[in-house]
Amino acid sequence: MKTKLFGSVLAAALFAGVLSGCASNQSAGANASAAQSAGEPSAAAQVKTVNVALESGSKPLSFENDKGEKVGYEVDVLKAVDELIPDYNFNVELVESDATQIGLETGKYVLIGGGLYKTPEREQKYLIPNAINGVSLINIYVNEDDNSIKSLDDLVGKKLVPSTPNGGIFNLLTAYNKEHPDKQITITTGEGISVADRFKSVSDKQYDALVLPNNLGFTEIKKELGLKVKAVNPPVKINGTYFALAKDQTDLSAKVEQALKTLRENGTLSKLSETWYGEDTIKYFTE
Amino acid sequence: MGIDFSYVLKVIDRISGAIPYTLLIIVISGSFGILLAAGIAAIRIRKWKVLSPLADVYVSFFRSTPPLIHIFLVYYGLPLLLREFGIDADDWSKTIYVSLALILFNGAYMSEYLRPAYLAVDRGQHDAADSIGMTGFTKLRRIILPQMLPIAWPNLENAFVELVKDTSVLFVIGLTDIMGMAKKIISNDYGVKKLEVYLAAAAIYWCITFAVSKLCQLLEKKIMIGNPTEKRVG
Repeated sequence: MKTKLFGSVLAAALFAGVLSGCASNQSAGANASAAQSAGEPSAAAQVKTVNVALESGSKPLSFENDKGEKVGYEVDVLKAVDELIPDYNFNVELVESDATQIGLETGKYVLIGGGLYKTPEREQKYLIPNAINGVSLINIYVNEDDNSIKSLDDLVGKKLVPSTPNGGIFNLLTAYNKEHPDKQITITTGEGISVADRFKSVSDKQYDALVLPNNLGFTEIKKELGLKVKAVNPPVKINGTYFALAKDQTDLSAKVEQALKTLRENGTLSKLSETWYGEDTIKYFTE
Repeated sequence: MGIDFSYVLKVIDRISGAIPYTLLIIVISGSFGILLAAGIAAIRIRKWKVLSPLADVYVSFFRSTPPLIHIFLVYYGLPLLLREFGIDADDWSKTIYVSLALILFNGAYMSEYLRPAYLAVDRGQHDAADSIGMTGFTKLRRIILPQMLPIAWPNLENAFVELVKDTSVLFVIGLTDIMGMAKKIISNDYGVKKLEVYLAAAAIYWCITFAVSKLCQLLEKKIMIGNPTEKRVG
């Protein structure tokens, strides 16, 4: 299913790319006229409604609750950003992760989220505001009785919950093994194991440890299933997450950057992090 | 690991909430799809200049690519195309886009069931109708359709059944059809009871498909007057 989806998306992106090639001239023209009219006071007062997309079914980042309301950490951050930018009005959509990127490239959305890291490829393709919208921690999760594991070094010779092939965690572990030829972590792979089942297998002592990002709902799963699992402190890795904007959205990008900086300074991001993740993850990020 | 059947029942109840919307999409794209198919089949049978090669390309493309791509193309690609003509389609409802995508897909598919069925009606039948002075439409209604529909019908029935299952890709653009609802339930409890939710979704698809094929068989009886068919399993 995954490869099929990927293939379809690729084909769709190609086609959309051809189409957007035709459309780019016109949107450039529209920008120029927008820039011209920006000098007039009447145009500046106009509120512009733009479509933005977050990932669907990505609890607790962004998802629909049982009442059909769009909720989640990034949804709340976007709302707060929207309030700080009076001349734009965000219309939030929740779609699959592949769809957010196609939508951004074809101009359907001006901004997307989804716990995105800053990568060279993304920086080349999109505008990434130089301010984090959140922090994703990569944690080692172990059974509450286990005090022997403190860092990746201690995972050598331990039984690790299988990770998704070529996923971020798999790459992180493989990179560690490359750097430490004398100390090899045993990596196994498996696909389609639910997040809840992975935590459960550590709680049941079927496996010794699990390496996983913190934004997949650990606090709630632990509470709901009564699991005996804890996160090892400090985290293995600390990543800032960012919004990505379409290349032609320089004005909005600058405003989003300013708004995110304000929200970080006034503690809003920390507060939202506590609401959705049970702890302030922003404080780990020092840049 | 056992399966919690009481949870399956509970989830069936919740997913059922998405049935009316899914049925709406099926009815819209099924009915407009067959109209489009009839038009396309007519163009290709008559071999009209310019239109006929275009129809060939259209049928070939939509029959050779999965519905998931159609939805992406129509939802993300069509607004770009329309913008060229000065039409702002960004605010159109997603329902319009997915219906359009499924209509285009089914139009291509069903036209390839109608066309051979039409061609299967013997040339002599046309000549006979012409010889007693029947006009085009009367000929079609009285002579051709009663003979081509029994040939096309089993295939069309299959197409309708397929359509039910094709709606399962709507969730990619964030619509809450049956699959979308199932995915939502799974992600909201972190996949604790994934298997149960998929079982519930499967049960619902089965029921809808069963109903659709029963309906088709009822219609079939009307169409097949004087053409008794074999009993089939729905």
